[in-house]
Amino acid sequence: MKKSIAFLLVLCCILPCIFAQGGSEANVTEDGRQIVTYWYYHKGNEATYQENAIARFNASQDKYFVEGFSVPDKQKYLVAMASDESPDVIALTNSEVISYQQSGLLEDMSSMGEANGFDFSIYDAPAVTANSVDGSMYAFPLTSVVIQMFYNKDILAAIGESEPPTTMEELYDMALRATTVDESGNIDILGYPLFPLASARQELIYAFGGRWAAEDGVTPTANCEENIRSLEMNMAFREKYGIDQVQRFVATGNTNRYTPQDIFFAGKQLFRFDGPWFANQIREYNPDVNFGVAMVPGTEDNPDLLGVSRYENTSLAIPVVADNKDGAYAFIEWFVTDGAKDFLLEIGSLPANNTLFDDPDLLASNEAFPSFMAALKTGNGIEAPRLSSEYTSLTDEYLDYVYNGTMSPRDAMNELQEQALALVD
Amino acid sequence: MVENMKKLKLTRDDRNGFLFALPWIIGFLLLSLYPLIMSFYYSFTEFNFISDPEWVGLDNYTDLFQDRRFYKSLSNTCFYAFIATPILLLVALLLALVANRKFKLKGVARTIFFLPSVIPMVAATMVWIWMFDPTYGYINNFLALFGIEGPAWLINPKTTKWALVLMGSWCTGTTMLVCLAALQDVPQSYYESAELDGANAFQQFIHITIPSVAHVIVYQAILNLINAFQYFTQVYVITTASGGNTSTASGGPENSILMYPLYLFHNAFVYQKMGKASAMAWILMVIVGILTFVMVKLSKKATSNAGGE
Repeated sequence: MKKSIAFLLVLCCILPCIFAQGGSEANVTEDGRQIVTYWYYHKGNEATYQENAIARFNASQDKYFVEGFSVPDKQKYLVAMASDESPDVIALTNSEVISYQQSGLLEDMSSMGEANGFDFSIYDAPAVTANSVDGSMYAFPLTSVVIQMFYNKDILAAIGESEPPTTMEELYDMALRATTVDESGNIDILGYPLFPLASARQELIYAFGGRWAAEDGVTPTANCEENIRSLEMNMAFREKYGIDQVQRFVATGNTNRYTPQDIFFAGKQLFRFDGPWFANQIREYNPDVNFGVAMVPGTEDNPDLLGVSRYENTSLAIPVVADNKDGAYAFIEWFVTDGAKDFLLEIGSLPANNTLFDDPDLLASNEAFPSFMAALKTGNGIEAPRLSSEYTSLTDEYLDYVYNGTMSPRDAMNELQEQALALVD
Repeated sequence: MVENMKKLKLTRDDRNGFLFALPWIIGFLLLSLYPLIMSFYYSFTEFNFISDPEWVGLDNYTDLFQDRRFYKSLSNTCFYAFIATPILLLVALLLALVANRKFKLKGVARTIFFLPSVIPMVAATMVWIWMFDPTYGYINNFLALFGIEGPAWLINPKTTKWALVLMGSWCTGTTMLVCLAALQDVPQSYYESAELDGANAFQQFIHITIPSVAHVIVYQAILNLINAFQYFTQVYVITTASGGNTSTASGGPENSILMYPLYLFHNAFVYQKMGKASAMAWILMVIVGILTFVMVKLSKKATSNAGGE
């Protein structure tokens, strides 16, 4: 008897462990529709907008039924794709598309699109290249992210200007005139857009024609002259107002970023390179800020760089191990075409689909969108380097050496280039 | 021989005991021993989660020994371990001495001293990030009362590690509690005899208190040192939280707070170099093992010097 109880207890402990992962799910709904599983990384309100889009698709369908799951942890994507528990559709960034496909994890969407008569002309060149490996698209982009220039009209007016700059030289001149310091030398108003740091690494560099990688995406170009020129202007500003003072101001900016105390909302920043969501945040936190939006300037030598920015997507892809690839494709095609507008209006993102660049509803939905859409139309979006994320880590480290005055821009970029080449090797 | 075999024969109680322990044994084998062995194997492979591991021999180890950031992370961790640990112990001992005294609201004071240890580290770190703000932070505002201009704690690479030490010394509740228990075990008669011999409070502290609790201090030093080599949560929050994003470098300004476990994490889950990360984990194990051995030796010496066993 005792032995039996002991065995039962042991079984009670072991069996749940063994069968916890078990159980198979039917892949057809009660009304006979094929189930398509879709994992997205959004959460909170954004997950709700995803579910709304899924509901609209399901309402339009008698063949497929999409089940959406919010999976913010991208490691789960990899684990699922490495096992046989993969979803049929995944939402991911364009950088992840490249990274995943370098390991052969995704279906060739170019081939699937051609087989289904997909109209590829809805995508401009940046959207296509950002999601392509060796000439084939491995995901269809749904939303775009570009960064443009917000400016404080009151500060601009105070220095006698009515229009935002169109070149970096003009911007620098205005920044010097707008920057103010208190009696201790601490910065009160920051003219030059040194904050956010991610924009300083990207848009401030790109505006000078600088790049972190060559056209192929994998050859590092850290020490190109344009990068150094951009950093020299950056450092000229820092040295004029004191490296320590600028760093303090930036630290405060970082700590309070996107809070009611954000330095732009507080009227302490003339130019801010940020995304279209920033307009909504201004309205939420301090509607009194008198701001305008314009495209990121180019340079006097190269005014065509106007509107240059990082270019990123949220894209939809099909893992090679997906069960229902036809259903997955049907959902993705619907989502990036017919289903895109309603979703974008809800989530407040920019489209990747160029037929929506002039959509009046989208343009009216966010006061920053006209400038951002104009920037999208320039095609000046720049994809992140396809070198490993380790290169970005190194870049950030060497930019710190420059910003803190530990190394000169040229020395830092030369050393970074050496390190990057070692990574490539 | 046969006699020995009979002796080894399991009784019913032995078998039942083994069966009851079986779930834990299975858990240990699958969730601890197997990953341990696999991580050792992975440390000799190139492995990125997705593709199959590819044997590369000692390449991960040789790469690490030529990696500038490996040494930087090790030096940052050593700084924290060997600077913060003594400070933390000192703060804990002082708090324990205060908590050991008889005064009104002693219970409240003990609770306040211990409270930081039960606050979730992520939440506490977020609060500290705000406190370290160079312009609006409480710390610099407090320093300003004395005419001192506080540094840009989390953005100046010269001060970032000291900010971590300051943050760590706030959270010494557990060590304080152990020290307090040890202090309460010191016989009162020692102090009475010392008083009769004319020893003042400081002499009593040096010659009675410290030797009496030396074994506990050394033991806590070992634990804190090992914990320091696993210091992760705070730096991860500081370097990734939007509010605490003092630099876009993955290890803080100029990688000044790139701690060893953080770099290991980056290798594993950001750069997807599981082989290199596994090699780092094994190197860390060797380092911690050596340190523990040395500290245990010191502990025995300290105990015997203090008249212990």
